[in-house]
Amino acid sequence: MKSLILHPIEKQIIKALKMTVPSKFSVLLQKTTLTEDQLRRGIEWLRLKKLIDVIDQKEVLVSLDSNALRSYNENMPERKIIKLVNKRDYTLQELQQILKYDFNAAISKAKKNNWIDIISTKKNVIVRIGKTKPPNTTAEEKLISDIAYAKIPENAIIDTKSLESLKKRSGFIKSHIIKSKLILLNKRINFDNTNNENTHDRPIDVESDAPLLHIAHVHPLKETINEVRDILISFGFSEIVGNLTQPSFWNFDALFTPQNHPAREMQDTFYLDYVLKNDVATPQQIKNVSYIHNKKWHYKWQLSEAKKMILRTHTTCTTIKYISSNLPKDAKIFSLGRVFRNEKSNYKHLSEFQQIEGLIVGADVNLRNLMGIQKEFCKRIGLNKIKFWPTFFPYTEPSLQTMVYNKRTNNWMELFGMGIIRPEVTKPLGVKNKILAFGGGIERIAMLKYNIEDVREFYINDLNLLRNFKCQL
Amino acid sequence: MPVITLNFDRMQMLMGKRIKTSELVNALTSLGLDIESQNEESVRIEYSPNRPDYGADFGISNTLKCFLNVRDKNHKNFVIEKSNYKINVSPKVKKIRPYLYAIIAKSKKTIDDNTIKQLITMQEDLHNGLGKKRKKASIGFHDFDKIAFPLVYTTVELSHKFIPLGQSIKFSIRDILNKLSVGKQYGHLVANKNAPMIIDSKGVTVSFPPIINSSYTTITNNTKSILIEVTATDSIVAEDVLSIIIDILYNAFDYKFYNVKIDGIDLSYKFKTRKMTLDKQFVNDMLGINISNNQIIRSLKKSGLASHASNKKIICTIPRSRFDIMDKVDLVEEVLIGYGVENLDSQLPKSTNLGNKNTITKYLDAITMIMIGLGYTEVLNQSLVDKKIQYFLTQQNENNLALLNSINRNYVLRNNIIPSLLHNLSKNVHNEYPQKLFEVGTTFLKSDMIEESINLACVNANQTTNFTTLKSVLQSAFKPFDIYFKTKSTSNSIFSNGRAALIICNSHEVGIIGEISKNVLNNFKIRIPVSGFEVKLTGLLF
Repeated sequence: MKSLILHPIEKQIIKALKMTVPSKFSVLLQKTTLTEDQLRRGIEWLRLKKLIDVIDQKEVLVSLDSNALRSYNENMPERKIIKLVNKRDYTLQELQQILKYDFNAAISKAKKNNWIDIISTKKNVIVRIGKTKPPNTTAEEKLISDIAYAKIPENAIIDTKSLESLKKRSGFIKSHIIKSKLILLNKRINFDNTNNENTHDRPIDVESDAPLLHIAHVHPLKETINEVRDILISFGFSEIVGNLTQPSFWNFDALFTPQNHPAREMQDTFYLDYVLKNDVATPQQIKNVSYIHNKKWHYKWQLSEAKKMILRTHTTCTTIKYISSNLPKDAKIFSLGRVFRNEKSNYKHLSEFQQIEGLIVGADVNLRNLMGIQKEFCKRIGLNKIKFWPTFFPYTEPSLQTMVYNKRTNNWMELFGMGIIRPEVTKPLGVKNKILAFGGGIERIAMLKYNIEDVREFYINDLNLLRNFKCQL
Repeated sequence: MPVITLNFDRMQMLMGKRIKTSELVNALTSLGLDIESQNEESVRIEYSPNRPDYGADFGISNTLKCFLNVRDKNHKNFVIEKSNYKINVSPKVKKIRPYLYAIIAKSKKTIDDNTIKQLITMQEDLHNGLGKKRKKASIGFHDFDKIAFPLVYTTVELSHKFIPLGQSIKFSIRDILNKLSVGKQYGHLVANKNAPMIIDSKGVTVSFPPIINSSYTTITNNTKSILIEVTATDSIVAEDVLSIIIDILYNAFDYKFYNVKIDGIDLSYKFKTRKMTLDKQFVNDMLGINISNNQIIRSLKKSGLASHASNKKIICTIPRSRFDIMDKVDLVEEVLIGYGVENLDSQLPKSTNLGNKNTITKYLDAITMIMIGLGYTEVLNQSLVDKKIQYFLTQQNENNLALLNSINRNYVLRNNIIPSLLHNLSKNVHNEYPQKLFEVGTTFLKSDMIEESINLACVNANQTTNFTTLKSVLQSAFKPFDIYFKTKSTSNSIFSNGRAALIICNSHEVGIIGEISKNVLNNFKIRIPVSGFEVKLTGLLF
């Protein structure tokens, strides 16, 4: 036989069973320090391992019913009649009035034992003491006083004759059927070594499975974020971080989005209950941005509108501000983080999601460089089938989108947008060289990677999923 | 983005040539149109707001004909003939809707139902997009042959009656505004006492801009010639809108256009083309290619733009309807579309920059790894949290930095993270304990300015968890940074009385720690003790 590797719960149960076999559940609960739930689980484990047997047991308990309880408190009907006729003779009518509902039982029991005689005269029927002297306590009376108010297992009653006779009397004995489980050790197994503390020097079952532990881990979406960041750093990009709350100026105006543009309207952008008090940009930047808006969009640009604080709709506000204050001749920078759209979340879109966005500044950079970065990036995340389609973005021209082939859904899906930033953005900010820009949602990459169809799943944090993650390389 | 459905059979008819469906769909994506869905008969596409001329199928087929070189079809710049048709504008409309442009499209053939349908779809897209929900400009199409010129654009009283489009009986202006859905939707755009109205010389009502046309002049499949009028509060938008309609009708069908004089003035000069000069080097530098002037001219032609070389430069003629072309870079995109993105090879940038992780990210990565080392699982929650979770279940005060216009009225910006973590625990009650979670995330507050801070919050749900369990985690987690905390007794709505403390670092309050109160646990339906802490990393680590 293989030696036993037991859980502490199981060890406690076996120890208790060794002392009292077989045991009921309630007994084990007293003899161990286990909770009901632990005990129930432990019994189930041991049963599956065939170390114990669990037997269904039916037990009958008896107790006194209403008539017997009255007899216990007063006297048995036959005792009542004896006490009466010991003093004098009675007519049947008299006894009927005194004994009432005990009358029939009293007459029949006392007569059967010859404790009374019944004599008919001309006038009436008389009851008098019989030939046999009744004992001081009958066996039935003893049984009733033994049971009293208790419930007693039927098989614990020795005087079965009295019990049977009491059962025949109406309203005397109640039976209760109790189902219970009886737990006993499997007799074919030697439990001697389960108590031994020095198990390490005995052979154990080295082949059986051990219990699994939960691994603490980074969130799967965070893994993808980290992977994306690492790829961009390996491409020579440096990371810029910025606030999630931004003045409209850097989110929109500096990016040549007119103040009456639909995207700025209340339904697409989250506006905050705050208007910037400090300067939103340098006076020169404000002047230049104002000029280009007035000239090219034919409206009167308002500084007050540019100072309204919003939840950023992209991370470009952070990177473009960095470029305009540092004015590098060439640079590769990126930013990733949360961005917001004032839309209802559904399985495809979230009102708050993670975005990666990068800028390349240089005199001789061109559209093919953007395509090069995209192609290499997609290769690194395992997407080899890609193509580029022209598209429209408000602040880049020309603009392209990276389409990737989704094997699961069998169609092309958009992954990234990109383009060369318009001169209406770069010139007012004093940037002389070209700026290439690209960006996209990170959840979309993570959905492809983890085969997730509903983007909201990332933010539910179901431990069942977080604990059972699969390593993705 | 606006969406349009293209029926394949009709596209064949408009193109005047059989083209394979796959070729057609490929060409659409090459023009920058997104395929939304496709079936046997049709394809639904999204078009960008910068190309409102793609709002009708015949607008798209005009460009496709150039792109696919159908019978060498070039895009033509439209011609407007002179005429003596007149509309007189009354000064009374000045304050309501001052601008009016009109044009007559004459034809000997009747217009078909599908074209009418497309025209109406485009009209709606133009109303909503450029027209800013009809506020800036709105369009009316009318059966020219039913109208007696000259017309007058004036105002009338609200008792004025006519049969509006889609109705069979006369309605007063007041009834239109109060009873018809268009009236209720757009009534606020016109003044209260008087309404703008276009009326013909026989006194017949033609249109009630920008609300509804009259039933009498509606275009049907018996209509041959069309009067197109645009009324506006912004004259440039009115010209933009009208130029698009003229351009696509002109290139798709055999219409001849006639000018309508407004107050005796011929405004057709407003629809003239303009010239833009393009340098070969500029194009090649942006796209990273090396193509000749001739190749650029051919590419522009495929995109529907006429150009010619002159003194080694390229002169491009831009129709009034292509007002989306603001700068030379817009022409570069037209070259790219004509040249074909698929003909560009990808190439990595030559510059060598050295990449670097941001310092804040390095700190956040470090604390994340420490928490995982302590056995805590990372969760991610949104900054926009349900009000119920953030305030009501935790009995916290409301964040003073409010969202002004959230579509989801229950959203609030979180000012701390612990409520999100309690919500996560409440969604995981069926999973095995102990449950140990943490999150690093941004929180928001308003004082003199908006204060964003990055916090670390963590919770431990277990039968044996208590204050000390979490204080151990807190003190152990920050020891690697040489940060040591003191804790000072406090009371807080989330935590139990006598089991809550402020986290103090160098006599600054940086967070809170404690055992979550029974009340709060009940609110979240969590049936196991939970302890937690939240500490502000901004200002502490970086």
